[in-house]
Amino acid sequence: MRQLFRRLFLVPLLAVGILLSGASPAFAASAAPVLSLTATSNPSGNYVALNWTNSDKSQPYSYMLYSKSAHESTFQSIPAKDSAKVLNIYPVVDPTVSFTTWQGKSYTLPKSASLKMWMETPNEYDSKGYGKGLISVDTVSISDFNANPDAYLKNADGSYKYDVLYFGAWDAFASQDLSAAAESKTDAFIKTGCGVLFGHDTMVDNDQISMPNFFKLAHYCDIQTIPHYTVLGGTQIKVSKKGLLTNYPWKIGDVGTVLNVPMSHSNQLAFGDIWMTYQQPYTYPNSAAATGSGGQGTNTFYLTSWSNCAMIQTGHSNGEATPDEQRVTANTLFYLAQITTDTSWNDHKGQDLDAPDKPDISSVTHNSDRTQYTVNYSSQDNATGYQYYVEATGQNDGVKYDSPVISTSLKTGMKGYSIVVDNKPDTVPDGSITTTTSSYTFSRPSGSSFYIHIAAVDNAGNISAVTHYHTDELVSVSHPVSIGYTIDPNSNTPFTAPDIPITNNSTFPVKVSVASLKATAGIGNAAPTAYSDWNSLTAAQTGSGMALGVGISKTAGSGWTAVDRATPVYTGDLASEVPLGTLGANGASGNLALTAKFGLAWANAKTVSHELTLDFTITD
Amino acid sequence: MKNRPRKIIAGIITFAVLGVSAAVPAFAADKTDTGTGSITGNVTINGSISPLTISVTHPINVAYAISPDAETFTAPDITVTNNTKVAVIATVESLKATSGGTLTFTDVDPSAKAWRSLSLADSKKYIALGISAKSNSGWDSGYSTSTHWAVNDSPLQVGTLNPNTSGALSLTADYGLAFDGAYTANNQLVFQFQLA
Repeated sequence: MRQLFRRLFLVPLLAVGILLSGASPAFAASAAPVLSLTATSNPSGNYVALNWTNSDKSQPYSYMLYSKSAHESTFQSIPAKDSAKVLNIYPVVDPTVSFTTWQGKSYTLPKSASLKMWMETPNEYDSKGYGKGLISVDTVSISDFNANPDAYLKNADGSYKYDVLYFGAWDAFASQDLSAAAESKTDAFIKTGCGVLFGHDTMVDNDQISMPNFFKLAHYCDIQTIPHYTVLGGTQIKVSKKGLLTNYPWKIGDVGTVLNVPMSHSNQLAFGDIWMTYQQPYTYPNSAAATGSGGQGTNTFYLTSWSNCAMIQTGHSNGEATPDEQRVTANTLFYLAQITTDTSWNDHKGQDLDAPDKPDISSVTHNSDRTQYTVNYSSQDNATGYQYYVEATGQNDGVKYDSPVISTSLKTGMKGYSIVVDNKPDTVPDGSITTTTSSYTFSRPSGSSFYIHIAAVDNAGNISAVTHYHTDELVSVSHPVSIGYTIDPNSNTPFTAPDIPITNNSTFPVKVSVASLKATAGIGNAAPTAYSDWNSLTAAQTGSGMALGVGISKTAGSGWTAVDRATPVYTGDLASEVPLGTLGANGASGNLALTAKFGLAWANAKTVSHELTLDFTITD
Repeated sequence: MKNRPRKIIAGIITFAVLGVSAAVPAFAADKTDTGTGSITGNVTINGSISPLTISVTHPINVAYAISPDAETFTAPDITVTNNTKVAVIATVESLKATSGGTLTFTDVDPSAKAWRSLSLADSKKYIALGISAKSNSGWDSGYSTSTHWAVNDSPLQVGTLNPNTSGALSLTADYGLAFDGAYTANNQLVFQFQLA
């Protein structure tokens, strides 16, 4: 439509240019209305301030703002007012509701006209109702509206009274279709850029239920019929799109938030923006998912919009609405209030929607006894880009023209980090700020392993993807309980001992140290240097002590990744524990070898014992 | 005479028995230690030690001769060689007169008789046979210079022989001269060798 306007408008401009080519430049410039728009981001307020000027002062203009974020492919109209005046056109039903608004006025209306009660009656969440004082509602029955729509739509001067029309809400809309005249007047209302919210079973046209005149307006919501009656619904819906509609004036929740609503269902296909879908499992009887040809469109929607029109499934439960549904309705009505005669607007739809980068953990350190850990990390906030233009509509002649498209971006900046330390691998921090710094020190949780979960949060409340960091301190090492060696003094190679295999099952390297090596039975400890010639010892010397040492066996082809000591460790070396080397992670194996110095004068067969105590320590 | 002390035999037997266990110097089933940060693991190290075989070479028998006319006692040195890897201590356990000859002497102390005046009967009955280390023959310093007389029951620790070293012992005797014919007599010399 925008391109069409430009083409149509270009012809008269060229004609004027030709006709006035000989005239003064000043006169030629004044003949071409200039609509200019500026956009200034306001990070602290998380909005974009828009200001526009129109050089044509010959008639009043109304304006419609269009915006497209970097995440969207097409421009859509956006709200341009800070309040919304709504006309609720309701089907005629017998049940009534009585209520008193926050302004102290009491009403009794058909239950199908509950919108005013929802928006203007104080509740536990807001003293001015779900409309928060921003939304005011007038009501008219569809029978009256059908009879004389302009009487309800327009002021005496022909201007429209309302920002938004709401058709609802009752099951099957109580089978009360728009009249042809009302459809035509509603169509004209929509074309001015004013908003319309269609309730349950209004835009429906299939083999079981049909509202032909309502359905003529379905294209404004980018809705198509499913020729055969096909329903899908339930009592829970899930937010599927984030934007003004989900967070102003109520913060309804991020994508994925599940909301409770009375039982309702869809009966058509939506091709526009899907703000909320029914949450599986679909509990409405005989629910069946459907799409249009080529897989486009869906009937899983609860709330869809396109430009200045939307459809919500409120109404199936005949005037019942949960707090969630009333908040959604309030936000939708505000969203649809899009036409203004002002020349400035703070676009709260133009928000910082982009979360900061997923935090990058640069280091995780600890104190000497590992009771305190410090994690260092960083992240950057990301801006959300927007493009805007404003469309002017002459209120006298209906002429439309656009401003140039301008671009801006909004980045609210880093607010801080939301950090959780626990024993679960996939915890998602709730977004509450744990620290504003890029370093966080915490006490190590109990247990051998824990996880650090970090999300960055910007000042708009956008939460980044979560960085999970696993710290595993479970040292697990396998080794033999005992080994046996032999000394045969008659042999040319008297000492025969198997290697001691050590397997590190931990997920990190482990340093292996000798904490103790002592003779425990049958013999004493001797230093390897106790005798210059061990082979000449007497029987008494032989039996009094031997020097047993332990060290790393061959490193080639083994799991040893570092060797701290290449020579054997004897008892006398162990004033404190002596590191031997480091075994790699995840099942790396390496051997320790025994070495012995001993006499040969063994008069009798003998068994002796030593106790080797190894220390296995996590390495960073 | 070849003397194989029971100790040696016992040692061989012991060696044979321990040799079986020495063929399987293995380790027991693995244990997995787990813990946080730093853990300890204990390995018991058991050693099976075989006794050292004592190997000594010595003559199986030696012969001595008594010549009453010349009043001489002639006997060769008894050489003992230590083949063991370490030093051994040689001890004369006994030097007893035994049967099997034409005479069977009764061992007596050398001072017990007036040897030059013994009668025929006593000459054929008594002898004082002794054995002692031969000086400068390979014995380690500190060897005994005493003589072990056959009549004594107490063993005599002769001395220490280093590996691959030989030491000699000499026989000495006091005897009568009144022999009326040629006779033979036997003595059993018993050594004990032990690791130094």
